Amino acid sequence: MIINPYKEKSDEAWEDGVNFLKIGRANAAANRMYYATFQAIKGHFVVKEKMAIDENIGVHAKILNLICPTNEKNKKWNYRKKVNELLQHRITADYEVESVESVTLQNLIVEVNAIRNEYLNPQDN
Amino acid sequence: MNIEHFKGLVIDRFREHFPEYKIQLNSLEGDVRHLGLSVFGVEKHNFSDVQDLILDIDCEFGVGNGFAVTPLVKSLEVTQKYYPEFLPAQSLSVLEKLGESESDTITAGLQRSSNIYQLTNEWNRLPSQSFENSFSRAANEELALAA
Repeated sequence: MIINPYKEKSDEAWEDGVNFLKIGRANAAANRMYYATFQAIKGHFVVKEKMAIDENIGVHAKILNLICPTNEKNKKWNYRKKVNELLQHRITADYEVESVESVTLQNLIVEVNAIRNEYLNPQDN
Repeated sequence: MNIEHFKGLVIDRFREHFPEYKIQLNSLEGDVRHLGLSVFGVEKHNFSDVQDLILDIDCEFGVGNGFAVTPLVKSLEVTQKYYPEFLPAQSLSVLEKLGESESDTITAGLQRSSNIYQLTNEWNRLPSQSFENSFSRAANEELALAA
């Protein structure tokens, strides 16, 4: 089995995000948690040769579309929604004047981490 | 489908459900295929529904063509504090193009974006073709304030 090339970085970023959230730094947590998830998904599709390792333009829309390639309301539809919801908070943290609220991340953390782990340890993606 | 058609579908579907809010549609981080739909002045009881609708719209219309739309939902409190001019108004005028230069919208003393187009409640009464024309240059880059 080919190891996800971003596994270490994804795990590290996720741990940073959880720790930021614990101390109330929700903006930093949103950024780290999103990129931890993004790296897990990108790494999965790099292995599948659907993304290049050095690809960095238009990648956020691309991974949403790779996650859910059909418009059937199935598990992948919900994965896309959850990752996009987390992306909303990362965009807010990075660009908007208001701050991310910790509770919004706390509500997402379990489901998004499950998605992240599925892409790090794929069964049938 | 091209990006203008995608924008039209996003706006039309959103307006079917929530015609009362002011919205903005911009490209995210320089990617013209990836839109951010900002919705302002959303009350707590509607917040989840507004966000969920946009997430569903993204799945429904983005799949298969490489497009995406990400919600940027602003609560009433956030809008009052940071984006007061985007609070829902009692009477809103026609689709208002807020300019074509590089500095168009000043929000709470901050430049929010360039080439922003603001949609109002009157959107529902405008034919789709007006949208297509008005939004032909509406793919904008957000300010890169942080990476």
